[in-house]
Amino acid sequence: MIEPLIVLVVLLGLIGLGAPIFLALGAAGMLGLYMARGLMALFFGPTSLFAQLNSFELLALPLFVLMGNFLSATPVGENLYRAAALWFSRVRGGLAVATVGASTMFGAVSGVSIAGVAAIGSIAVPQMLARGYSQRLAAGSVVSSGALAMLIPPSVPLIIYGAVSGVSVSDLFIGGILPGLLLAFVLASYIWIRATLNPSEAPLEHAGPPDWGARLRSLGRLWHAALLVGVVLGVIYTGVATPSEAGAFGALGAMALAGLVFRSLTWARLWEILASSARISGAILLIMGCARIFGDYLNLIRLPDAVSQGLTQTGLPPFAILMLVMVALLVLGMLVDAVSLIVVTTPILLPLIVTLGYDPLWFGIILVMNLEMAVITPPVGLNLYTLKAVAPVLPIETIIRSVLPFVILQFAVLTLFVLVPGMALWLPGLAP
Amino acid sequence: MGGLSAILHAGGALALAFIMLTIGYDALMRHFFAQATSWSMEVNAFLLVYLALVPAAETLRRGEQIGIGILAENAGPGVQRMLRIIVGLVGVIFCAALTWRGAIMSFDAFSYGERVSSSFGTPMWIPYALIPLGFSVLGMQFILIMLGGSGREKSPRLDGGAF
Amino acid sequence: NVMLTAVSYLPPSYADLAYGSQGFVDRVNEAEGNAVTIDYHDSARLVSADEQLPALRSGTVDLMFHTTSYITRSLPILGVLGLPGVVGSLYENPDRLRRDGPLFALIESELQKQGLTCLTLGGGIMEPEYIWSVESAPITSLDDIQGKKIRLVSFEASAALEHFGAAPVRVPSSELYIALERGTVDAAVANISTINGRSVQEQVKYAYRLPVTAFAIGAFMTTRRWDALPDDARETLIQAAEWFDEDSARAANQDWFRDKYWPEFKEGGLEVTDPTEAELAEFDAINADVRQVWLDEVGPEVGRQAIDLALGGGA
Ligand code: NA
Ligand code: NA
Repeated sequence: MIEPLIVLVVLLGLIGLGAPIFLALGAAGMLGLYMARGLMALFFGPTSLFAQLNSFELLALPLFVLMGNFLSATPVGENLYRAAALWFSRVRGGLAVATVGASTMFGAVSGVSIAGVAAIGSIAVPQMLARGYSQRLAAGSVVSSGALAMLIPPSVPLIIYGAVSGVSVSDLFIGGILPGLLLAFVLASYIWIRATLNPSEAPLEHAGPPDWGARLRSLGRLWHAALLVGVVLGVIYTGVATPSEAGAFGALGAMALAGLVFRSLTWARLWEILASSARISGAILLIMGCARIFGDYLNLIRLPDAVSQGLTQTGLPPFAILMLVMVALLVLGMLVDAVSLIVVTTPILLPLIVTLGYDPLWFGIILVMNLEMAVITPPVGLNLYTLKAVAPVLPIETIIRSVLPFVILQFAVLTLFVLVPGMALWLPGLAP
Repeated sequence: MGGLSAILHAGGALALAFIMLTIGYDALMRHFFAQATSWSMEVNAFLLVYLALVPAAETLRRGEQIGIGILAENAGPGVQRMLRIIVGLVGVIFCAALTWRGAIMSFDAFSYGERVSSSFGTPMWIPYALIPLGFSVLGMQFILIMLGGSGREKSPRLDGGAF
Repeated sequence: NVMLTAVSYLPPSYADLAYGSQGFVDRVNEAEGNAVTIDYHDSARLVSADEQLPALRSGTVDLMFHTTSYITRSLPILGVLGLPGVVGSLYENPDRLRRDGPLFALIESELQKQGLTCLTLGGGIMEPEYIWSVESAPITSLDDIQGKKIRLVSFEASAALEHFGAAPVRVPSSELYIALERGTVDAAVANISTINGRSVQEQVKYAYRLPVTAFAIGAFMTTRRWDALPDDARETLIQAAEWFDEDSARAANQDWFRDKYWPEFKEGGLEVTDPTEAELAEFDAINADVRQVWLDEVGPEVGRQAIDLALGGGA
């Protein structure tokens, strides 16, 4: 098994040398395919890339990037964070906590995590940095909370798990609510504690007693944001649009705000917003496409299968096996994208899980909690690159470093749900 | 080269506007008039491939393709030049491979008359052709980077990595 | 020993539809003599459904299991397996599609012209795609179709239901569940396997068993690759194909759909309506134009012959 090691070294080496991430993933994947099957296998390059990108569900990404960029031509983000700063004036890290709250709400609209990172990140990061927040706190709060969209329904990963496992999608959706909200609470609490212990990371803007006049006035400037959120949520809950399509209404609404309400949209500005949104979305999509080439190389040599298979043959006590499964999923999650992780590991691991006496519904929730970490761990961590694309002022190294404490927390919460399976099954058990 | 790259870049902006307008239109027509288009879902999914590949060269030229540039940033000019050549060379080979296999894929789809088996039925050679188109221009951009004569004249690094 | 790379986009969890391909692979890999081994990649991990045919043609994949509805517009002869007015009768008489019968021979000879060899089409089509509707927009007759937003994919299904005033809608299958839940669409045309696989039975209340369209699952190779195989490898594959022909569609239609899903769904409150003879006759008659479009595409002579054979006429 020397070839996979060479491929991994090439991947990390190219990233280290400063190659674009898409090139590192794509070239390492193509090299692997070539070593495994010769010249013929290079054909997997275009088919894998095309298959990954030719996906209607992914349209949410460019549309929410576009929405964020239209909003940056308006004071909507500024107004939101000014209000948050006034209302949370005595809460350390209040703006980052508010960002986690915004991502949680966005999670109820979107079923994939990168769309939330794109929409929230482009607004939240500049605002937090302008108010003196550290880059790491700003980045970590956005990338980690953006992933909550996969747990809080609607959720594309849970739908895919439902298809692969046969578990009811509505039960999975209900099961995702509690861990999603608990994770949001834990992330917010961590931010508050961290900001309290280290005030320089999150300065308080308005010291002194709360200014109720200013607080109430700030609410009056929130109607634009409220309207936009109402439109995006409204089109989904009334059935006008599917979650993938809702981004179009978000983008159209933001364009209307910029053009008609704030009159800040000249033709030149409109063009620049469209062009930069296309470049940003394209950069993220290209990484996704090339990640699939790399992932399909791993699939061809059956690496995820081998890892999963190995786990079923350890002969350890159930709890030890479960924790090994979690660690293996964490490591696989660094290399493989979210959908592949579900599709490849579930058929092999689920029988093992059931044999150990656990509920397939529970495992679905646990698996998606693993994905929360997979999307923020390098080298294949799409939330990281999405934030970099929409908030270019943040160095990618800083974004990557920022996630470490959040991953540790998420793993801790995951361990809790592994130890107490009843927690994930409690809400679905209440449903009729 | 710069001209072609700029045209493709403008095409990306237009594609994005098209996606936003047609998805909104399709959903509204479906909901209020029970008249959805047969093509919106199919064409817009193909436009994602377009967005990823067609503006890619211009994005690379501007140094906006995401990468980790810490090594290049702290290296001397000689090492920087070497890194540029190594990465540029890998980029050219990668793009050549995808252009070559992508062109065969598109040509085969054309000669066998492959289409999406939907009511709209897009001929597959058209979206497949985006692969050789995008990667050939991207490959040329890597050549320019290798030669050191492209974009990024001023600083060796924006925020987005070495290129 | 020859190694063949085989793909199927279906995951093993679709046990109904994937039963045949998995059994085929197992039979080949466990066959005596070890003339051929299959390296099998399912779940669309290596190649997605839409790229299976290009991958087969390019030679990166040697054998593909495919659902015919994905490739009817690339391989028009397969369209006969989904024609409104034909699928009802073809489903009732699965023997007509057996690999030793004249319809299979006709399809096979047409595919040969496009460089492909079909080993089997499962010994019959899968249960047809029916209309599944939500409680607030019931479809239990042809008249109910008027004005309903119906999720469907193929040209045949779209044209067939537009005759009755349906508004065809495209929604990705991953969002079908939410689309029905939120009223984005009122109904879906789908095979029962899709309903079960996407838990759609949780959202729909009515099944109207109008045979709108259908598909078969077959095993395909390029003729070039097939001809290059040694005789003993071909023999092993044919034996597996014969088993597949005997069991693939039969197991799905009977063991899963008839004996498992339908009773479960009815138990869960699904109301099932079968079309009347008059409705079936009306549906078949009005769709003559859909069949004509297909005849024009595939060539009238071959097309008529295929339809005749599918309807039980002589060759
Ligand atoms: Na969600
Ligand atoms: Na990762």
